[in-house]
Amino acid sequence: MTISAASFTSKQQVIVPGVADAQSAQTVQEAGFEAAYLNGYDVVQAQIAQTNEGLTSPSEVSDVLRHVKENVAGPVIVDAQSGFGNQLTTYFVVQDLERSGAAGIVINDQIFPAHTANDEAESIEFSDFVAKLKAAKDAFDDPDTLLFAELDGVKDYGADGLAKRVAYLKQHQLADVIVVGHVSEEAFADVDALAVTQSIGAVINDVRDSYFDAQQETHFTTVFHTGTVSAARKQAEQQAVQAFNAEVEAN
Amino acid sequence: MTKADRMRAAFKQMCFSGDLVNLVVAPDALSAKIAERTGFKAIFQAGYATSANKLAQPDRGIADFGLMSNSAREIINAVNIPVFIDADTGYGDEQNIARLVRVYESMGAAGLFIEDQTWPKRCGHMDGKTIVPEDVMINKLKAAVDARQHDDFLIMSRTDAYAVTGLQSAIDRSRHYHEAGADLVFVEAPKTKADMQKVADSFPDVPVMANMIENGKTPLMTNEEIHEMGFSIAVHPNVLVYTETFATERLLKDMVTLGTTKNQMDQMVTFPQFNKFIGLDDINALEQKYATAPIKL
Repeated sequence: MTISAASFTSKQQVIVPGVADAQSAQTVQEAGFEAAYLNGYDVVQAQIAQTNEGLTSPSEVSDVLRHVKENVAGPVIVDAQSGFGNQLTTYFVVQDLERSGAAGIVINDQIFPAHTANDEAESIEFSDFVAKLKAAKDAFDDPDTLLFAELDGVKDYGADGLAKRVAYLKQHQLADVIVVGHVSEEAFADVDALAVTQSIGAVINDVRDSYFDAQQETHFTTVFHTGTVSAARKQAEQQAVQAFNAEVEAN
Repeated sequence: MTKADRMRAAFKQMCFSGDLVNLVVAPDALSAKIAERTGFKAIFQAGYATSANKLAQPDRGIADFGLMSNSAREIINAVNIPVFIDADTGYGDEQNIARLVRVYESMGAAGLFIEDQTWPKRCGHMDGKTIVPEDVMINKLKAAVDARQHDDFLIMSRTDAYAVTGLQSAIDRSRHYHEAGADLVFVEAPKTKADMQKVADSFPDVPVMANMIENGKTPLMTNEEIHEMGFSIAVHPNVLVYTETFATERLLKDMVTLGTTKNQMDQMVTFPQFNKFIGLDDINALEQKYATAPIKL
């Protein structure tokens, strides 16, 4: 099943929940969402009980994706992080993820290895990011596969630098959809203001970006919500284990 | 004592015994088993052979940690001799190194090396290599040493500085890497026997590895020559890949041309020979051992 760029760039905001594995992807699909976002933060928690997305390697992510696609027919957008290296690694990572069933792939502009923590995420040169996006696009076999460019460096290049990058990516048609991640509380208003005039989406980590209220009105065309599924799962598991403990103690 | 305990202890004993540790890189579990059966006391799992075997790609950083570690686990589980691991650059920063050491140590590897190339890396005998600053590599080695659970899980430093900044720089880096905690030292791709001798002479008290690649940048030497120079470990990383490619190509060309394998029968093992080698009798005996016996209640 394919997805269209128009869905993610129109003024009708699309919500894409983050998923960690086949079970959560199935839940999201059954709830009727446009797509699910298999992202590094949720995957690394489900796979190795860590919170730094950069600890996963791309072949581990594609393993998870193939399991997801065994029983989830709906579109899955996949986080290819920083491309796990340079343009060369990006090419092969994207190729593997598309062949494993990704309907869309997100590449961010972080230095490899990408990090989840805002203070550990550093930006690469824009020219290197552009080269990675070109490699990613060339690696696609299916013209309907979508490329999402994720700009994570607002704290490094500021709202002005972000606006210039967005304009360049659009002018040269380097990605189907542009999203912004690792936005700090201080920069959030400026980034949302840019979304008023430009079709851009956002990646919000619902656990770490505590300043963002999911109910608040924003101008992003698309919002990827990461962390929610993992947090809910963890909480449910803790409650279940506590219930088992209570049962054991009662007996 | 677990198998992992035994393998680590055995490999450490070999490396510090004074005898030469003769290693061949196994591209996969089958070749590892053949190496064990033919008398190798330890084997190596490395990027060039794994990239070729698992991806049919060159050693250019396309094989990642997930692929490499899965292949390593298959090899380790196939043999009862120590397996030493090529961990490339560690596939990231210190956090990735810590994870990698935990994973390889828990799967039963005897140890691993980490190199100071940038990622994506290149085979050490390819042109165009670049290296990270020395302090970056030292931090990776310290992270590896801190992450290991067992002191006999050996950490080797590899430097690719010879091709970038020269022999003395490579030796200096290796000295600093040893001071940072590397148990073993490897200077990749010296171009002359004199350079090899200087490397060996620079580390009289540390086991040093020599890398023998056919048609690579380093002169090909016998194990005896390597040992006489003062090296403790010799590795032959690509020979099985080249041999397998040669033999497979020759056979398949004949099959395409003639439509039969009958002219190649003397170039292969037989059906019964292979079944015996691969352990069919053992598997059948194991199944028989646990055969269901009738029970009358």
